[in-house]
Parts: sequence; structure tokens; C-alpha cells
Amino acid sequence: MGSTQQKRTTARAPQDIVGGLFLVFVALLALYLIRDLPAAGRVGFASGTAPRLFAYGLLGLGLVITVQGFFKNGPALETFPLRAPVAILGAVLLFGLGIRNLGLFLTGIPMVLMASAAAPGFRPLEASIFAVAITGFCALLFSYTLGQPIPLWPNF
Amino acid sequence: MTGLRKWALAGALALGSAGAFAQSYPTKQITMIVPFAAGGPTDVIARIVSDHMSKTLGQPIIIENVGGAGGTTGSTRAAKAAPDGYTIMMGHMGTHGAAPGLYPNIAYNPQTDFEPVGLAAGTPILIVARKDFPAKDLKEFMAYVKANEAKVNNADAGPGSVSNITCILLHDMLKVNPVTIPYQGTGPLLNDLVSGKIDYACDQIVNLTPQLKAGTIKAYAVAMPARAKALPDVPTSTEGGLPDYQVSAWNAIFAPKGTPKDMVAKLNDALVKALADPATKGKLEDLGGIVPDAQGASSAALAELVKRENARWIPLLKSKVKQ
Amino acid sequence: MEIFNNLINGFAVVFQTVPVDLWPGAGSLVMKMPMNIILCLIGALIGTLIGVLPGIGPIATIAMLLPITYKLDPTGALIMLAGIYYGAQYGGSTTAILVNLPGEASSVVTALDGHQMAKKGRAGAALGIAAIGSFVAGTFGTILIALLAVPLTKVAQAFGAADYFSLMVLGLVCTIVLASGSVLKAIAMIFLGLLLSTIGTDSFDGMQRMTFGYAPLSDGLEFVTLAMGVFGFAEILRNLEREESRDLVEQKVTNLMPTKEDFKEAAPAVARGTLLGSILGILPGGGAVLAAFGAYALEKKLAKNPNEFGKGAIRGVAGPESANNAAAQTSFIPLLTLGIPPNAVMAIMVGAMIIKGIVPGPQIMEKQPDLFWGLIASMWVGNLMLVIINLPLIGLWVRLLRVPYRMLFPAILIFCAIGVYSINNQPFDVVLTAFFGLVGYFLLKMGFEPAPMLVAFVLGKIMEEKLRQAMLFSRGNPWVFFDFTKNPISAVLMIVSIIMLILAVLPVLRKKRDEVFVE
Repeated sequence: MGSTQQKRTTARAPQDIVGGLFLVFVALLALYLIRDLPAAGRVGFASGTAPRLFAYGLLGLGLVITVQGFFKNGPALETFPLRAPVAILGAVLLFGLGIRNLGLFLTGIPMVLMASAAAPGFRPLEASIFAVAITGFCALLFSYTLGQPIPLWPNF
Repeated sequence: MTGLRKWALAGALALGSAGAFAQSYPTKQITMIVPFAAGGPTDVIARIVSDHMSKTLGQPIIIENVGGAGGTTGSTRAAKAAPDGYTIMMGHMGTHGAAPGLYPNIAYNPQTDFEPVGLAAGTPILIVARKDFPAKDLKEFMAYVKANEAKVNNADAGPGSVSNITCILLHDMLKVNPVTIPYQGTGPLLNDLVSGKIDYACDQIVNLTPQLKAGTIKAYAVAMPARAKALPDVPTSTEGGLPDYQVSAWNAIFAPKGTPKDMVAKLNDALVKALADPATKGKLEDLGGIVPDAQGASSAALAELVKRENARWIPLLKSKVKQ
Repeated sequence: MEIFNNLINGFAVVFQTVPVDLWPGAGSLVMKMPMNIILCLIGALIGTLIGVLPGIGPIATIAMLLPITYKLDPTGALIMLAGIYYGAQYGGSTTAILVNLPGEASSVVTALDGHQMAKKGRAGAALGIAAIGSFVAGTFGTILIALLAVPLTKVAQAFGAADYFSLMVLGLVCTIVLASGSVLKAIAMIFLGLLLSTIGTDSFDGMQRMTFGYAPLSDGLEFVTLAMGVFGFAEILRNLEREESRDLVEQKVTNLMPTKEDFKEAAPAVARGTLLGSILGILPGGGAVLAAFGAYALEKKLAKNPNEFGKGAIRGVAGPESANNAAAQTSFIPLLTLGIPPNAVMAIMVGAMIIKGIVPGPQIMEKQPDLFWGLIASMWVGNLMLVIINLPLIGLWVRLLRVPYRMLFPAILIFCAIGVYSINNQPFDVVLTAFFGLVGYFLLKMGFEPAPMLVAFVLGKIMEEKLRQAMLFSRGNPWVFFDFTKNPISAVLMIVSIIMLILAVLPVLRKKRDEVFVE
């Protein structure tokens, strides 16, 4: 890979180490959540058998990937910009949390606006017009034309 | 829409014309929550019935499928909806009869959180088996299952499904506990019954009639006092020697508790008219449904039915189903 | 030949004309029109148009459009539904290719190379080969149904729980092939997908698994929720941070149609995909899911230069798309011969039939031959409509890619949000999608690919169910899967899986020794 990797630190493939540790965390979380489920039942398998097998598999693989990351060269960690994830995922959250009580217009328009702000070079006027237009289009299509039970107006 | 509707309602009340308002009800489309996915038996019944009801009411009825957790997700939403007559639901034997016995954390009470509107259709339950299952009739079937308890394979459509709880009832009466293989729904179950991989199952007549008519599976009994119109050759459970096995899956309309009585009456009137309509009735009967008369479809009869079903299922399921 | 006559009757139903008053009231403009064909055309068109919206997968499309057919006569309604079905399927593939958003499991594979082609300015070629491959596959599938529906049903019926489990194991082994990067990471993603598939109420004893006691999680995760999150939202975030790829089409769009070389390259893949899809499609319970990426794995294994896969290989689009459509075709078989819906889409179709007063069952062929053969004829016509509608539409879709990305991605977001919401009318599903967007973004940044995870997620559900069913049937004997006398299909599949696994992992082990401490 890149020559920046040549400067040897203990972590040679940091992506693998962080990623592997994440998988280990997920596996341990799963094992904790299913701790009360029976691991074996009347015919060998019970509700806890398959999740345990999968979680142990994930745990093992996560550990191997992590350990391997110390011995293998790999790409460095990328930076985590905040702007896009916050804007995009925030916009989706806004929709999910608001749709039933605020309706499509009051969640869709701010959602599109907020999402638009994720891209550098945000143009407020263009984005506002676009937000109104696309939300209106969705209301027209899904609610009026297709008769989907999506709330359009706020429900106080 | 709900918001405007509510403001309109508030306005009407402020003018002191609540009575006049109810007389004009409904002024907006009504949402009927179906607590299952589109295309399932309850959804089909809801669409057939609501189609005619909307003609009487003069407003469209929109079906909102809110699936999940054996129908309890959609039922919870209906129970918590504004009691303004614009949200109703199509409940069934599971959501309003058996659910409290299956789900310990259920967020509604079928008896106290709803205004019963009326019964839409009853669906008989059949005991069916693969076509080469050794028993000839219900008596032989009962004897065979008892004698071969460790060998037979029962199947159902998963915990809490109609096929699951109705066979739990059957096994309770026969005092047996055979291996039951759960499937993801009736389709795959039927597939393995037709190909002879499983021995027997209990299920709604809707799913079974075409297979029985074609002879790909056989039926031992219909769990009703009288034989089913769609399958006149299948004896009743009484004829077959198990008179206590009387069970039917039913679908009924409910409104949230507190919905004004005159609105419930209007909805009930529209339901009764729909059930009296030959085309609507014919469609429901083609499905094997038993369409109630005006008496059977009354709100009071439904309230009674829910009480009876709760008394039967909740203790049984609480004792049989692992929590 | 009897079948030939039947087919002619079927086409007569499809092409039958009815007098239509074109100007109601005037009374003078009554024309004879082939209404069924028109319905099929309209169905395919609106199916495509709704299905192409990002976040609205085929199942949601069909459920949304179903009510349109309620007003029609049964035959017309079914024919229109067939049109909607094919349109929705193809619309889903279009979204996968254009914006890398698979709406169902089988388009995950289409997105792999299809979207890479689109990024290289070859969206037209990818969409064209998908349409043409689908048509070829659909035609073959239809002929197969007409000739062999009944014997094929017997084959499907022979498959038991143990056989399905072994087939899913083979599928999972194939999934490793999907990965274009590290095999170890791909296997880890498979396990993550399997683990996610176990979330929700256990379908055997009703126990809550990993639901945090939270009711909306008790039905497990929806495929669309997961796919929109790890594919869609993560992809948008990735695009936004890479300045150069912010406009989806990096290079100039070359040609709208596949070139002669493309056809030469793709033709054998179409043939193989069609064959594989036709076979797997008849198996209810997961056969169709396996078809698409089984075909992809096959193409990658057969390719002279497997490194091109994942970077825009046309065979990686042609094979899976043909397999997908052939399977979509033959998956009608259990429905047509037994009246048993093999998957969610078919279950919706059965609901629609029942509302029209047709209760599908084993006797539909004898009792309603018009309907049966009319439906088969309309399947082929539906496939034809698909090509007729979509070849001209390709220009429109490609132009859509020129919409500035700063407008395209907010539009994708709102469509996805509405699409996810509309599955169960459940706001929590939307919130969950945002969460998986974050997870997917993180995994991408750590060099993990989402495709094997999604496929494993879909297979995992079926796999665990079949495994436990088989264990119940055998009363707890784990060797049933290798029992040549009782489950010969399963035993063969298991042995093939083991051989394939060894073949897939051996080179990795060898390569690792080379890789470590180099550079």
C-alpha cells in the first residue's frame, strides 16, 4: 500500500484491528443478551443454540482479524468527518421520530433540507425549493395516488 | 389528515353541535388497521367487508397493514388511537381472544380497551392429515395419535398462530404431547403436508378447501356444531366422537375504547349491511367463512364472544406455552 | 399437441379484444381493444416506475399497486398483476444498478457489478443487458412451466427440511466467493449477517432473542431496513466524502446499449444464469434467493479474469439478472400446480386472487384452464413488455444520473424513509435504518464489504428454520444431513459444500503465508 505505511508502528493494519475489535464487541454483546436462552433442547437445538454458534464464530473471527492486524500491513484509519453522518443520519432519525405525529410535510421538508446540508457547497435557496418540491411529490404519489396510509398533516 | 379531522371535531364540539356532527359522521376517510401483512386471511376479509361498508358510509375505508408480534403491534396501535371513529381495526381470534395468554407483556386488554363493533366472519377449524395417514376417521385418528405419540409429526405455523393454538387445544383434550414442527406460515406447512412429510395439522378451512377438494390431503373433522357448506363430506367433531372440540377462528371489527356510541352504531349498521349483501356474503362464504346474521354481528354479541374466548384461551395457553 | 393447443388458448385470452367506449357519453367512439394486453403493459410500466424508486422494493411495490387491480375482472386483474410483478422486479434491478440500492436479496448481487458499470459510464449497457437477459430467462422459464410444471412440482416436493438446510450451507459457501477483498473479512461478515438474522422472536418456542425486551424488535429485522442502512445510507456517506465520485457518473456516458462485444461476453452468462435460476426457482423457501448469487459465484469461478468481478464485469450483471428472472418465473410453479405460495410476493398474489373469488389450488389447471393458460401466456407477454418499456426508458434512467448528486441523495433518502416506513407503517423501522447506516458506514471504513452480510442475513433465517425442522423430524440425530439412504439430496449437497469450502479457503491460506511480512 502507500508509503505512509512504511513508518512502522505496533499497529500495522489499524483498520483490521479496530474492525476486528468491533466484531468482538458485537459478539460479546450478543452472548450477553442471549445468556438466559437455553443452549440445547429436546432435540439438540433450542432458541439459544444458533445465536451462540454464530456469536462464537464472530468472536473467533474478530479476534483473528484483530491479531492479524498487528502482523500484516494494511491501510491506515481514515478520518471520520462529522458533518455528513450527523446531517444524513439525523435527517433519517428526524423522519422516523416525526412522521406519525408531525406528518409528511413537517418531517419531509426539514429532512431533505438537513440532508442537503451534508454536502459541501450547500445552497439554501435551491435546497429549500427542492425540499418542498420533492416532499410535495411524495405526498402526491404515495398518499393521494397510491392511497398509502402516510400521515400528511400534524396530529396534535 | 388526522390533525385536521381532530380540529374539525373540536370545532364542532365547541359549537355545541356534537349530535349534528355525529349525524354527519363520517366526513373523512376511515382507517382500518389490519394487524397482519397484506394478502393474509385477515387482510382479505378486511378488504372484502370494508369495500361494501365504505359504500354505506359514503367515505372510503383505507386499510393500514400494521404487522408484527402475532398481530399485537397493530392491535396496540388501534387501542391507543384517538377514539374519534376514524380509526378502527379488524381483529381476530388471536389478537382479541388468545393474545393475553401468549404475550405476557401485551399492552392492551381485548375486553376493556376496545368498543366491539361486530363480528365479520367465523372460520371453521379442521383437523387434517396427509392423504395416506393410517387412520380412517376421527376415532381412529385419536387412538393412533395416542398410541404413537412419540412417532407422529404434528406441524403448525409457529407459536401463537391459529394452527398452533387450536392444536394445543386438541392435544390438551387428547392428553398427548407429540413433536410439533413449526413452519413460517401456512404455505410451507401445507407443502409438506401435501408431500407427506408431516402427519397432521389443525388449520382454518380457508387454506385447506382447495387441497381437500383435490384429494391431496384428508380431513377428519370440522370443529363446529354443523358441517361446513364448502365441505359437506367432512364430519363434525361431534359426529367424530370429540364433541368438546369446538373452535373457530373469527374476524371482527373493533374501535378504540371511548368511540362515541352512535358512531359505533353507524359502523355496525354498515357492517351488517355488508354482510347481508349477497356478493360480499358470497365472497366470504367462498373462503369457507361463516357469515353471521344481524344478531350475531351485533356489538353485544361480539363483546360476549371476546369474553368467552378469553376465558377459554388465556388459562390454557398460560399453562402450555413456555414464557 | 395438447400443450400447444392450450398455449394457443392462453394467448387467445391475453389477446382477446373487448369493445371499449373511448369517449364515454358520446357513444360513437366504441373500439375493439385488446384490454388484457393494455393492462399488462400498464402494469409493467407502473410496476417499473414505482419499483425504480429507491427504497421501494418489489414486495412493497406490489403491495402498493395491488388495490389498482381490485376493480378489474379476475383474468384482467391477474394479467395486470403479472405485469406489475415483472415491472417491480426489473425496477428493483434498475435502482440497484443506478444508485447501488438493492430492494431485495437477489439485487444485492446485481448491485455489485452493475453499479460499478454505471460509475464507469456504462449504466446503459448494464440496464440493457439486464433487460435482455431477463427476457431470455423469462421466455425459457415460461416454456419450462408450460411443458413441465407438473413433473417439476414433484421435484420440488421431494425436497425436505434436511435438503434445504444443506442447500443453504452450499449457498453460504458460495457467498464467500462474493467478496472481492479479504476472504477472512468476508467470512466474518457472513457470521455477522447470520447473527443478525437470529434477532427477534424465536419461531420455534416464541422466546425473545436479542430484542432488548423492545416490542418493535420482536419480529426481527426487515431485509429492507438492513439493506437501506448498510448499502444505501452508508454508500451516500461514502460518496459525500469522496470529492471526485460525488457525481455518480465519473466519466462520460458512452453508449446506451450494450455493444456487440458486450453481447458476446454476456451471452454464455445469460444461458448459465437462466438454467441455474430455472432449477433453483422451483424450490419454495429460498430457492430464488440462492439463484442470483449462485449465478454470480458461478460466473466468477468460470471467468478467465476473476479480478474484474466487483469492478464492473458485464457477466456479473448478466448471469445473476437472468438467474433472478428465470427463478421469478419458475417460482410460480408451486403456486400454479398446488396453489401454495412459495414466497412473500406470491402470498400477496394469492391474496389478490382470493379477493377476486379465485382460490388457487391443485385443481386450477383443470377447473379454470382459461385462467391457468392465460396466466402463463401473460407471463411471457409481461416479459416482452418489460423489454419494450425498458429499452427506451434506459435513456431516461441514464439521464437521471446526471442530476447533481447534491439533489439526488436527499431525494434517495426521503424515498428510502417512506419505503421503509410503508412496509409495516412502523416509524421504528426508519430509526433502525439510520442506525444500520452508521454501522454500515463504520464497516465500510474498516474495509468490510456489506454484500456477504446481507446474503447471509437472508439465508440465515431459512437455514436455522430448516436445520431445526430437520432435527425435530430426526428426533435430534445430526447425521441426517449426511444420510445417503434417507436424504440423498442433502448428503450430496453437503459433500459438494465441503469440497467447495476447501477449494475456497485453501488458496487463501496459501496466499496468507505470502502476504504476511511482505511489502
